[in-house]
Amino acid sequence: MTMEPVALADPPPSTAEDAPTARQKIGMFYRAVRQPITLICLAILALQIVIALAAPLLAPYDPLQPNVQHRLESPSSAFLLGTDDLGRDTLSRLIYGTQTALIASAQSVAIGLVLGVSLGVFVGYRGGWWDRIGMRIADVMQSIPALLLALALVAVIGNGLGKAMLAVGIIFAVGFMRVARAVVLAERERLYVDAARVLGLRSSSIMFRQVLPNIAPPLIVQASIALGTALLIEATLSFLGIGVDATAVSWGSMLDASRQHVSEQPLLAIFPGAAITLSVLVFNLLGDGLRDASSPRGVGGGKRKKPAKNTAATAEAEQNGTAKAVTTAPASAPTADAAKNALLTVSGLTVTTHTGAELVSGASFHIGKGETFGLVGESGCGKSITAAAILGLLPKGVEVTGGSVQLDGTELTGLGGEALRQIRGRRVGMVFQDPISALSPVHTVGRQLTDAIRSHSGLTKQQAEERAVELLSLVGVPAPRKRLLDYPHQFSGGMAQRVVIAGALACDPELLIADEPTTALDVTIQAQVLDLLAGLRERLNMSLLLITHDLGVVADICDRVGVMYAGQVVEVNTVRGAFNQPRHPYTEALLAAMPHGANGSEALATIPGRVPPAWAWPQGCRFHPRCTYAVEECKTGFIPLDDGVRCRRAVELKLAGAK
Amino acid sequence: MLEERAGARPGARPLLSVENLTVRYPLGRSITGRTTSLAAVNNVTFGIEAGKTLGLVGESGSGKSSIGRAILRLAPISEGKVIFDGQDVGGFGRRAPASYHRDMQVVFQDPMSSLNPRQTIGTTLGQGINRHRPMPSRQLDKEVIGLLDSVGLPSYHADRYPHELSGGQRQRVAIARALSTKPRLIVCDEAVSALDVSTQSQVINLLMELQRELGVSYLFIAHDLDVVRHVSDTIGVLYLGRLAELGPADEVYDTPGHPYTQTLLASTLVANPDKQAERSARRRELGPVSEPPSPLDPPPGCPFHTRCTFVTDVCKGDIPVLTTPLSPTQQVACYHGATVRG
Repeated sequence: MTMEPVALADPPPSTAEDAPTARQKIGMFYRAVRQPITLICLAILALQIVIALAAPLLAPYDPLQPNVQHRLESPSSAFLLGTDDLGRDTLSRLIYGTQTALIASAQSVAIGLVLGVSLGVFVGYRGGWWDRIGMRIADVMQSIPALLLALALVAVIGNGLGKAMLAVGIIFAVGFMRVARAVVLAERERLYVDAARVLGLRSSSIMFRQVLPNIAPPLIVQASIALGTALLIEATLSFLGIGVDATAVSWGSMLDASRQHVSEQPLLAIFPGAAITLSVLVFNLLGDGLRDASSPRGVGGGKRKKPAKNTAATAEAEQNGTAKAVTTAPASAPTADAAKNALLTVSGLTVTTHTGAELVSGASFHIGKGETFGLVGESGCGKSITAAAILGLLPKGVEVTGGSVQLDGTELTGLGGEALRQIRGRRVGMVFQDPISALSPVHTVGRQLTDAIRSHSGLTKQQAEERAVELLSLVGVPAPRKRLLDYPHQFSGGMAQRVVIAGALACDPELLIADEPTTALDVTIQAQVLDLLAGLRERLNMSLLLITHDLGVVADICDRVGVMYAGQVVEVNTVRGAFNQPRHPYTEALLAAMPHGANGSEALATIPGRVPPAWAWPQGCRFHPRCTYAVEECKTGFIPLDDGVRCRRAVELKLAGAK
Repeated sequence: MLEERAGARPGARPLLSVENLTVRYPLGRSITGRTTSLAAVNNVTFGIEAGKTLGLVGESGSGKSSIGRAILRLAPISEGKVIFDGQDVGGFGRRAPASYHRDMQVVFQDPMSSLNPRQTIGTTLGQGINRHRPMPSRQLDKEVIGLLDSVGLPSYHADRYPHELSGGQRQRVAIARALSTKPRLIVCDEAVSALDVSTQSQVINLLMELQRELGVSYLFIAHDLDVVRHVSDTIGVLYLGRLAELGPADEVYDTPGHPYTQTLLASTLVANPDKQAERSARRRELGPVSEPPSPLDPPPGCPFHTRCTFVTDVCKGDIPVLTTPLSPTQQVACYHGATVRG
């Protein structure tokens, strides 16, 4: 029984970066061995294991056979590292000591892992009383030092390294149990566990096949560090004479022996000491390296690609001058006129990452005084990066590499930190998507507002407070004076966004930039906040740059709109113009893809494929692989933004507007 | 090809019926030993016929996801009944029968967290198939490729990990996983809300295509009334855990009978400046809507009365029940249902 494919209007085309051959290996160890220190540690560890296994072959002498003729000799060709008080070869003893050290630490960690992980997964998954009792026992166990428990156990059940390490293993188990439980608790709340339950998978199957693999990375890190601790404890016990007996060799007992003869042969303590130090260091560094390699990025992203040499970008850079010339060409006289009165003029803005990928390529638009301009597009098209570039708030490794941003005649690109801070506070306000995370959770709303007001004006504390009350009532927060004393978590999402807007308005900005200001809000609250923004713009006579993926938001409050695709502005027009008579196929496709209140008898229009990543912008028109109107000439050359549209076929195409 | 099931006859008893469902989450115990709880869903009743879609709309805290989770046995059924194909879902005890797990599937909102980051797509899909239809591994591989194909993904995606796919592709995988058991009902919990416009329309089309091909039913949970209207046969509007309105999609969308549905519709943005201007005007006509009350402390009487422009004293008394003041099929829980339609 095979399934027949359901006919799809748009099987997503497999792009080059999608092809199976381009796959990169992922995995913690793959990343770990790319760190030099971790690689060295792994090599040393491997060497130690080889030495331990091949001890009988490598050791030149019997490590236990006394030879009184050669007591306490210095290193020589016969005894490379000298001899101890009974004339035994130090090198041979060191080699056999490796065996003891590795076996003892592996033993205790293995006991700890088996015991700890099974208990941790069990109590974490079952929860309830099992969890409570298990964790209280763990608390008690953890308050006992491992060494102390080992000593006590040895006192009760007699000498022997094995028994001592059993005790150490039990103490380690508590640590592993905590880690395992914490991961299980976090993972069992994830939706994929719910999905597995809905599939009817058995609890054991969910636990071992779904949840357990996620515990591995933190446990491996913990285990590596525990190995170091165990090695140290073994050496300590043997040093105290309750570890290995006379039939085995340990670095700890070698140290003990050297202690009595340190005046006669000072070198005796150095070699086992160095061996212990090195081994513990190796385990700890290995733990660090593995932790870095298993950081969350590992599972999520970790994909790094070198951008292909972007010839289209170069062409753009070369032709930037022409592109600008074209936008302000006499043919579009009204636009040029409007541009002269513009508050914000962005021209040829290009933003590049340090790897050379162009996130924004030659973006040009202007915003008039008192105007609301919407920048719209799908995620990954560069609209938020454009806003960040205007404000000089680009993330590390990303910078403006071309073009200009002028605020009422002041050039903003290339301004220093302090000058930009002044602009941001006094002339441009900013509102982000998530209001709760835009406010500090540990200070009251009043404190945050007054701080913002005072940092940009000479007001006293009282005056700033009055201003804060004024601002909160301006944005429609009820009982503003009382609410100044509240913390952000006491506000609902919509109210918190009003507070953020109030903060952005603190110093009467000429321009307010709002990046997806209503995306995180409920529908009815979104409508309120949009009404508020539109009303404020009118009352305060400021300009508004609204960045959104929602064409509905643009239709609601914007005067003009810029449509962005793949880092370029592809169409600029009045909202009515762009929506009723779109001139770029991408605008048309976006409008058509929106459900528009019809019943589902006809399928929604779709755009095949998806937005390409920034390192793989297509040649020619960047939209051509997804465009239904694309012809051969769309695939090459640079296409300028001409009379508000970036399309070779703009003149001949008759595109459909919003339904 | 998935075989069409016998239950797909029109007019037969509903595949799923939810009767007076109440979902309560325990919030903890106070010092006096009294347990407090949050009633996320209150006395909700509806049914879904085979091959049909019921859309549930509401804002955050309306209880729409809790209804889906209760049906899937991921949330407690505190009162009332969920009856699927004649079986009482609440009466299954600790382990539900395999047939229930096979027939009922889910697609969550966030495909990143609903797929196990450490399993390949092939493994994820294979698990679902193997649980209900164990088969040798070579046949399993073929089946996985068939599933990927049915959601429009190329076969090499079977070796990929979730983070290597885009949001839309991941959501296709989540749909494929739901299809792996050949279900009869899929709960789509905000399944398209996190996607970009063009991807959203692709996934909506895929879901509807699958319904036509396979006769599967959907409980489609979303906050966007336009999207819900597009996919649904019946729409239920939830407010603070209660159904405010329930009826055929056209009637609820074109002639909303509950003030809340009207507000919701007027607040839903549309990508058309002229239509949007009409909606904004209507929104202002309905008056400013205040903040929603906390689900922890719902107002007495009609839960919407604190935000309603048509409110009178009767609204503050008893909780209104669903009646049919407008048409025999459109149920509205409003004392003024007949008059507010304007």
